[in-house]
Amino acid sequence: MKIYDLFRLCVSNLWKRKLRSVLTVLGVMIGTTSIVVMISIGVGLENIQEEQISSYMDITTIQVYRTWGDENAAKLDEESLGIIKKIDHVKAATPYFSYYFDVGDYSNYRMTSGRYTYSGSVYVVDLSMMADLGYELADGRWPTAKDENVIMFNENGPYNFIDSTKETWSSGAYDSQGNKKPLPVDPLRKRISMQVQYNQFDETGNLKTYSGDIRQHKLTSPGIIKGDSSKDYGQAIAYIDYKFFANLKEEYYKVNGLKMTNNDKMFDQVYVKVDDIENVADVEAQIKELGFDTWSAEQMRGQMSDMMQTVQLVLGALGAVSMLVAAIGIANTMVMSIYERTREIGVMKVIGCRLGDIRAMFLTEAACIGMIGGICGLILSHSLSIVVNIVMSSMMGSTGDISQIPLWLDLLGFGFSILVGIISGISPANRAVKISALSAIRQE
Amino acid sequence: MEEVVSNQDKKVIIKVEGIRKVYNLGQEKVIALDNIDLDIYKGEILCIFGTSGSGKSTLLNMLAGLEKPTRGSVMIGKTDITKLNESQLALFRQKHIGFVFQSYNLLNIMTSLENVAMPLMFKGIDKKTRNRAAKKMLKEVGLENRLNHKPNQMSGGQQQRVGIARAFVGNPKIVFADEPTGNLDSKTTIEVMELMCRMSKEHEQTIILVSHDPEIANYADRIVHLIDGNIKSIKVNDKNNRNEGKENEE
Ligand SMILES: Nc1ncnc2c1ncn2[C@@H]1O[C@H](COP(=O)(O)OP(=O)(O)OP(=O)(O)O)[C@@H](O)[C@H]1O
Ligand SMILES: [Mg+2]
Repeated sequence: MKIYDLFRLCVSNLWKRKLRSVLTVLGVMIGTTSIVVMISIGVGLENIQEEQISSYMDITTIQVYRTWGDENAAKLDEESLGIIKKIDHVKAATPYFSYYFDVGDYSNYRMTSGRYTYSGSVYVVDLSMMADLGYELADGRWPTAKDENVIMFNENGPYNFIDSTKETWSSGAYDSQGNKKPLPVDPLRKRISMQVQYNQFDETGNLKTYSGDIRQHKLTSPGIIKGDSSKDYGQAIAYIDYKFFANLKEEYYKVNGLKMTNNDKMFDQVYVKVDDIENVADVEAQIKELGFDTWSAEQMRGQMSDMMQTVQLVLGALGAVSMLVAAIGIANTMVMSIYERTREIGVMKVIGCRLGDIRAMFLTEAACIGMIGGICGLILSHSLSIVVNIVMSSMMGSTGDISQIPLWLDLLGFGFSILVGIISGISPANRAVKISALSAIRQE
Repeated sequence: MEEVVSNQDKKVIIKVEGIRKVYNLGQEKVIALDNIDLDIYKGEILCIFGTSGSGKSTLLNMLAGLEKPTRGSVMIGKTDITKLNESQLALFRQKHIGFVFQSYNLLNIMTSLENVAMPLMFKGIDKKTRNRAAKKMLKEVGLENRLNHKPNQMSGGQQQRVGIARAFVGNPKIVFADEPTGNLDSKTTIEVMELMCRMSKEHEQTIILVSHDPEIANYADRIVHLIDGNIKSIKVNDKNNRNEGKENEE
């Protein structure tokens, strides 16, 4: 028997018992809708939560720490940085540690521009990696290999420049009225330089005088980095290239007559950017295997998404109960229909219908009920989802759609409804197969 | 039991040997068929004749593979159909057997054309081909202007003619008919019987017919008389003088 005939027969049989078919389909529709809408709320909640996490932290970044105090511990240096960069799915990796520069005697380094001195955080990074790390430019350009002594500020970074004769610390980017103040130093136009400090004190606590010359490094600042609340806590920051900084550090040790140990040459911290959130846990595990301590938002996100999955499961299970009712409905409809068609089935057997075709006929009918119910259920789910989102956003303000139906959920709902149809049809179909051909001849 | 000389050169298509059918109704045993031996020849019209309860339908069902005997064998060609399982029987029926029912048993959701085409549909023949064949059959039974009627829009005689068209459409070797005219008036009965005989003669098909009516039995080439589950006699019907056939008593 041809598939086409199977379907035609199925449609005309369902059509013959319209009312019952419609009622059964309705059951499946409600079942599918319950499952899909319930899961869609789980999905929505998870997405809203993920959006919230990623608004205050970069969820695809892994922080790698140097292990302190253990001589045999893995060394966080240029070599291990190279190894980390080669791990699959690692998009970028950079040294990443911060210094605090200020105007006082204890600051090891000093950055100045005219009468202004920088008083704030300086992050030591690989500037060539910034774009891959997800930083964006607000103005100017990224540095190239030709640029030397590079420093880059984010949008509020230059406000850390203070006139040390008038203020002791930065008063920020905004005045008391909340308006943005003019930049004290425009890094793209003003000349900025940096030098190491001699800060050795005598026994009485007074600064010793330094006899030699200290070199002034002229800095290049090719562009301004866009401020981003999810990075570096949204602070006002200057970013300095780590290779340049390594030279400065060496110079500082020399000027101050200190001996540089291997420890001093290592990175305090490395940031690793992963291509996709799905791979974060995997990459993190591989870095841990290298012997480093790590942290990522994934650990937090992982726990939360475990929790959300439980929520989804519970919501889905609630929906599944109504699907179970629908399945019983299908089975019942099929059994009734087979009971009514006993004679017809007998006749078909006598005039040459194979047993497999009898089974296929009833499975097709059951699957068809499931499929139609599933399609109707999906249409209803999408409508309900829209309504739920409108209602919720008007009640709680716009925090994103609380009910979200991704494509996989559509496919799941569709496939599941057909599956439920088929499963509910198996036992009735077997019953039909067992009906004797003699039923065609017996008079009732 | 002796055979008539004129039958000896004919080819046996069904060979029944020692068939017995006992129904168990709780404590009670009903012997529907006691002990039946019978050869049925290719191309003949055979009538199983007898009173109500004599076991006619039971015998027919055994021959058509709808029911298994308690013992004995039914050879159709080289196959003993009593040894086949349900699934093999279904295939066997599909290939070799047509069936005409007393109560027509057409499917109400289908037109007469679709009803006639149904056995071909089960064989997996495409719609165009099978509808052409069904149309031809319906024309042969004189219903070319009732192609798209549903069974409930037709008279009993018309329905039975659709039933006959359905039985013959797959060109089966053997057509079974259990009281095919049981629900029809005498005029229609004659029409239907003549139709069946003509169709079988045209394609050299064997017809096995059940009836309790001597008028109907007279359409057959041979008449098997059943009494209480045993063959009482097999009468050969003379073509030229149908009402005075020879009797062959056991
Ligand atoms: N399924 C069954 N269970 C029990 N007894 C049966 C069954 N089928 C038939 N019988 C019995 O077997 C005997 C023969 O029945 P069968 O139907 O073959 O008679 P028949 O000759 O066809 O009669 P009719 O002309 O009334 O159709 C009867 O006594 C009947 O009661
Ligand atoms: Mg009978």
